[in-house]
Amino acid sequence: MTAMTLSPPNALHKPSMFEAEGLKVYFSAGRSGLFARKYVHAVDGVSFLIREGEVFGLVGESGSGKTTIGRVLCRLTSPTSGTISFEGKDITKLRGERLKRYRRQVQMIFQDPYESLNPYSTVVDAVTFPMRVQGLVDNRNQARRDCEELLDRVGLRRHDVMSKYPHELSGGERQRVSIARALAVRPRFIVADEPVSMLDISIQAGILNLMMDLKKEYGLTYMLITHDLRVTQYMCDRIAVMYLGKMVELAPGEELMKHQFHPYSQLLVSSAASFELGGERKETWSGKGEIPSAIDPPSGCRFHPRCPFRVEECDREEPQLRMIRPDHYLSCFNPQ
Amino acid sequence: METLLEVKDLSVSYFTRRGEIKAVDGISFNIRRGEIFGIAGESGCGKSTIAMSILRLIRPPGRIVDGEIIFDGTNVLQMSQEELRNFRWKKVSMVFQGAMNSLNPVHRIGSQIAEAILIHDDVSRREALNRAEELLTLVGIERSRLKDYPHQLSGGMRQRAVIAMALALNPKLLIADEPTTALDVVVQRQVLDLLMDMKRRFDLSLIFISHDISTMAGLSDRIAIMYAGRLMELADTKELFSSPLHAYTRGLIKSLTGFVHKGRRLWSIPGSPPDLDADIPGCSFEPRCQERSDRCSSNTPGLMEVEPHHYVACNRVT
Repeated sequence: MTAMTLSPPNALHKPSMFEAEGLKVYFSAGRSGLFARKYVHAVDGVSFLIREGEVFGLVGESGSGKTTIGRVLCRLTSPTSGTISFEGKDITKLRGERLKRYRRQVQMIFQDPYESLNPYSTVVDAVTFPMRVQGLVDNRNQARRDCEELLDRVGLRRHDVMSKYPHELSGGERQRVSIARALAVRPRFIVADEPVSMLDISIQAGILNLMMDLKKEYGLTYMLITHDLRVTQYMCDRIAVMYLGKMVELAPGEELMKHQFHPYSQLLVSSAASFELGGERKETWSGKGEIPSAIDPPSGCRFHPRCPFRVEECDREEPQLRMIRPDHYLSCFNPQ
Repeated sequence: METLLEVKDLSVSYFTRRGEIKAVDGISFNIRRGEIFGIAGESGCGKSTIAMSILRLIRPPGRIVDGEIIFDGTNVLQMSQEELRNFRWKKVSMVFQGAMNSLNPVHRIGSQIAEAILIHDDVSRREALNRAEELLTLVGIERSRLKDYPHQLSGGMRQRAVIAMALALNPKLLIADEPTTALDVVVQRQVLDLLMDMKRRFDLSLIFISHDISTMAGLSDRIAIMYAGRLMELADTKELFSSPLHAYTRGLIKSLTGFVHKGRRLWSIPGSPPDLDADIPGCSFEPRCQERSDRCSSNTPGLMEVEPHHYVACNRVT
């Protein structure tokens, strides 16, 4: 897989912000013998690009590697091999002052705002901390003023929340504070990892609307990581489906929700569709079994042990991600 | 259809320093034999409190202040400790929210389930272990995993083990409180399929509690919509989705359907639920309701049957 095949098919598309090629992230998982080390193959050879101004969705089950990709883009985790370039410059080797400068441009929002906010910091401390670290403010008063503005912007009443601690806020308010904190350094790219999955549906709408407003206002680019296809369908320009460290399908959002060619993508979409409002449950294959261990992943196509459509080469050869239609990429020997 | 459980005018309050918080405020409904009954509403609406009340698990500062809970002809609220021991788990069991994290981390799953059987049933350890094995196979956990510790199982498998444990003593009613909320879609679907399968096999009734009515849609026979401790609407699932009568129900459905239109602004019910420590004189949804009238702020609407088997508590309808 080369980055060329994933380049925009025509010049109408915006330039790419990120280009990742052959990205691998392995985590050590102890030894399996005297010399042999075991590794979790969290991300195992993934190439993609993210275009300026788009919402790029990553879907897949827990353990598929989607959070790891997000963390690597933010350089919270270092890749084992492969390259990632941000606006043409490799970021995998950045250190010290240059890494700090890079991190001003990319920020992350986490699933559980209760865990990602320091319980001993007030809202104003949490939001102004990144500004002070990055040296974006001259004094405390300016930081405070900037914080007030940000809180207004994310729909919180500044006087009510400034001096509160996370436990005094509701789940939705906490997530708004994390968004304000991410915005504090004026980033250009935000990774949102399951930003609404802990929230009630009524609260979800408010957060997603806010994210879309901020995107327009600040010209942001998003990577949205979620297992909730309802959210991806609403938010994402393009969606990539991950399975056990591999990207199995990548297509424009609306197209992928309508036509999936990879059996695993079909399983995901049909599992979600079976909860449709008032609809009868569609009888599809329910994907017996679960995602296998990433320490010793299956040979060939990683989905083959669960796949009802597998053919001979599936357990021998690894399918590559190839373009099957304009802007639609698939990695499967027997597409459905 | 025959009634299995009857909840009459149930009120549950938590007595805190801020005063009395009316978590459940005069709620009545019946569960029929063999049905799946969904209870939906936002966090804090009292749905888990109802579940805990049915099993008499409300602990101080909470207290059941009023009402009756009749199971198979007996009032649960008047049972002695001895009777309760025979009632919990044997008649009604529960899969708690986040239950997959409630397994004991230092015991193998097979023996944990056997333990649950031994506490409630007069059988030998051997028999209990055999039954545990049978149950685990039934919920789709291979025999080879019996001696695994909880951390060796995936989230979905742990949830299956918890369901097996809940079914260990052949209960008649299973209460599942957000059984799939922390799980991935594919696993969610598998767990829901499993619950349906177990319901058929064990001739169970099921109370299914969730904040997500869309998950409930394909599963429940009837759905009750709760808001701020009160029951707002109760109807057959199809009827509820095709002709919802309460503005809150309509709001919930509308906020879901928005997700299919990419990029269009998502709609949500304006405002947020009221604090339950103050007395709410009229309809508790009145401040957020787009169809309110003058009497809504003073007159609390009771739950009325406006169509056959379709109940609603709204001043505009009744």
